Amino acid sequence: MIKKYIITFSMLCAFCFSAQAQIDLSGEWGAVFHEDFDERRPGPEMVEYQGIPINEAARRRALSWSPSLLTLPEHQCKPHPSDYGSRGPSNMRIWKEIESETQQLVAYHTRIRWQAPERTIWMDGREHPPEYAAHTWQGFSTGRWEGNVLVVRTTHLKQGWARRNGIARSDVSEFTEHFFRHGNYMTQVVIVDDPIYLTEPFIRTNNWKINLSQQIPPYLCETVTEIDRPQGVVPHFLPGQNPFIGEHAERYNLPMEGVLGGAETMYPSFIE
Amino acid sequence: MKLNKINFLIALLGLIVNSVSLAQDQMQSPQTAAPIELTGNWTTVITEDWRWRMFTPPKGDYVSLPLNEEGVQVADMWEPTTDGDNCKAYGAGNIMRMPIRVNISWEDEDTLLLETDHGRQTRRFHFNPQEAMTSEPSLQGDSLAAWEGASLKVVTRNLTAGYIRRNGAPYSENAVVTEYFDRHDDYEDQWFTVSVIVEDPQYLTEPYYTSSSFKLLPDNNEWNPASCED
Amino acid sequence: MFTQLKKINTVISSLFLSFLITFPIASLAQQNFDDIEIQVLHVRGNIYMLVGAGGNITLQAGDQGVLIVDTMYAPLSDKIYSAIRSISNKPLTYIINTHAHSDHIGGNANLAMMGSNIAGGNTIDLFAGTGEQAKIVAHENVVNSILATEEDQLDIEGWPTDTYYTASKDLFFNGEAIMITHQPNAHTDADSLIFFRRSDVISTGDIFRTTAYPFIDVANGGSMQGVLNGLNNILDMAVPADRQEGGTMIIPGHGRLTDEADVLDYRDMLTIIRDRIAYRIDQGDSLAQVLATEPTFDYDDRYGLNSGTFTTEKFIETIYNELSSQ
Repeated sequence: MIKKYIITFSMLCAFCFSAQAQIDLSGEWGAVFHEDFDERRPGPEMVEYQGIPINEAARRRALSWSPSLLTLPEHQCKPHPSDYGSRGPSNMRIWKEIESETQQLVAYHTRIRWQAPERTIWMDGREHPPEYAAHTWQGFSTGRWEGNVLVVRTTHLKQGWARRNGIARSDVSEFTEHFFRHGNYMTQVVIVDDPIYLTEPFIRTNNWKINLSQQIPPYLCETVTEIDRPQGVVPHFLPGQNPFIGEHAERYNLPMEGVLGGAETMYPSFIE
Repeated sequence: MKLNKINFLIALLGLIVNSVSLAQDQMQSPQTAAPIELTGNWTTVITEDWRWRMFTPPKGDYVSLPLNEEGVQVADMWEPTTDGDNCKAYGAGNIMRMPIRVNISWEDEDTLLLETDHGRQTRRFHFNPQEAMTSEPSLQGDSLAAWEGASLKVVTRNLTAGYIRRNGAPYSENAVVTEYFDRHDDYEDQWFTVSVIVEDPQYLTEPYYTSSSFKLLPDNNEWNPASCED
Repeated sequence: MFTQLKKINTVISSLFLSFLITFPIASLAQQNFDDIEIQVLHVRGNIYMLVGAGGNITLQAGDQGVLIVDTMYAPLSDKIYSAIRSISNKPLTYIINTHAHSDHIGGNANLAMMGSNIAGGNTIDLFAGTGEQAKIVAHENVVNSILATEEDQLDIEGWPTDTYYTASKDLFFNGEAIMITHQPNAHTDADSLIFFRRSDVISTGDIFRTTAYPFIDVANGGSMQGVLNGLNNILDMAVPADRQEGGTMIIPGHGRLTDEADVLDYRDMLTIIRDRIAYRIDQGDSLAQVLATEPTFDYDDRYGLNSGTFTTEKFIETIYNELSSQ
């Protein structure tokens, strides 16, 4: 009897407290390319490092990178890692995994169109694996709600890239995301922390809009030998011999100290 | 009978508690009710669209912009020598994309003030709809603010024409700018990210949607005012 | 058999006078193992990776028994054995050594004596103790290296019992082919790659590690080109499942569990560093001049070592000397 009264009272007080209900992020999300279209769709140019807080090691490594590396069969079918996947030319599907008996949310899953990487964001409070566990392209992600914002932490990433023109992102990195949904719009904030190649955490945002008619097709990849090379040859530029230095700066009339990147290029003081 | 009376009293008690709770929410000022802290000195962090935001891009460079045919025609009329870097790029439709620092404070308990150093612009986010209406259109327009969950939602109308890119890519005086300010703390820094949606059927094929991130500064030592006409 | 080998010791040791397995043994003397726990990571099927101090251990367990690759340090043997028992109650039948450094073979004697194997035929009456310990399989250069060690030599119970001197040796155990391939002049000249064919797992020993640049043990026959050959062989053997991930799992000598893409990054890095140094040598640079160009700068924060026996500078010097002598 008392229990029934308590239940009744509680139901009537349902609106006593400010609503902090979690929202659903599931759906077919179309990428909005109103920012960085060039970098995200056709791809960045060589020696275009502006706006990234890279250190000197990252810069030297990027300058040694040759796009011919991607002709090696072992490099051909790499997907974008999860910190970069949303930057690529891709739409995204998000779906929920619900435990049948308890109806508790176990995980969110995402699928990106390009190279079809699928990622799991565990929502069940599980721990991240030990440091000696394998690293993957998508890493190991756990999520939690802060109000109606999904906050995701990802570790155990393979070596990847901060920009797909040779700026490396090390395999000791981790990153944090915030998914802010506002109606049919969603802003995904991605902050990467790389103690090897960045001088400070690196923030970027990706924008999404619900697309009810979106279909994400399969994406197959099979490696082929594109260029006949002796075994063990790795295309790269020797120090001081990158032929593309200055090309991007000249094309767009930008200062070299800007295109070579670094934290100072991110702030208003750069143009003061 | 006795049971029905008890049920009735419980229902009445529940409704009273509800009403008190809602009334308390309504009695709180927007400042008091703020679910997030936005006040302080912030610097934009430009990691995307770098060459379009740090510098004035060349005429005709409209990559990423959803301009329609009329929008392109208007943009093509822009001349860098006469119109470059003028105040139109600091209008409400684009100001949060510029390389600026902002200071956010409460002008009063119903009005959030956002001031910029570069461009020397002042934006007022009115939580009171009556205060959000002015007679004359302006570069910053009239902004009506509301707390939406843990976000600050700002809708701005009554604008004068401006640029969504410094090289003359336009938005019209009929544009509506909707912004969501969201706070997040990561890796020992405090941030807000503002998602900006510019709707302008006159010049745009679809709503223009961008997001810009700002990092909290410890003080205003970096504050560096510069007129938008400089 | 062991008595006969000791008599040969003085002959062979004259050929390896400069050989000294100092680095791991020096470390052993200073290291405190009390706080070291052996962590077990399930790799796939009946393959596990054991992580503690020293080299990683690969473990295969099945109805026939337990096989391990390498044995870490001797003081950890009890903990390692407990870890083995947490996986299987079957006897420890095989130990395979990837090379002769003590952080990989230090536990040989202890663990071998905790194991057993099935002996028969004409060996039973000839050799005392046959069948009463695990077999220890390694390339014969592991024995040669042990023989050349004058100080803190490995207990004889830990010496390999089954050696090979050809390009490879095969086993079939617990339902799968195990292909042991000699990788000459790599980390050392005693290196073996072990491929668990059905499980699709490769144990690399110290030809590959995720923790630092490779230690090229020139005194024991190691070389940079040999390491690169080894890495390229691993890449040839490995097949990823999808999108350059998974498929063949690779257990490095030190560091985390990996797959082909991780080996690829390491191979690419070493090739680039080698090419940079080779170019400077072609330009006539001295070692000092090569060091001044910082040919490893962009990788040092991740893989470089500033202390110990094989620092980054030593690594560059080793490559310089090798390429200069060609």
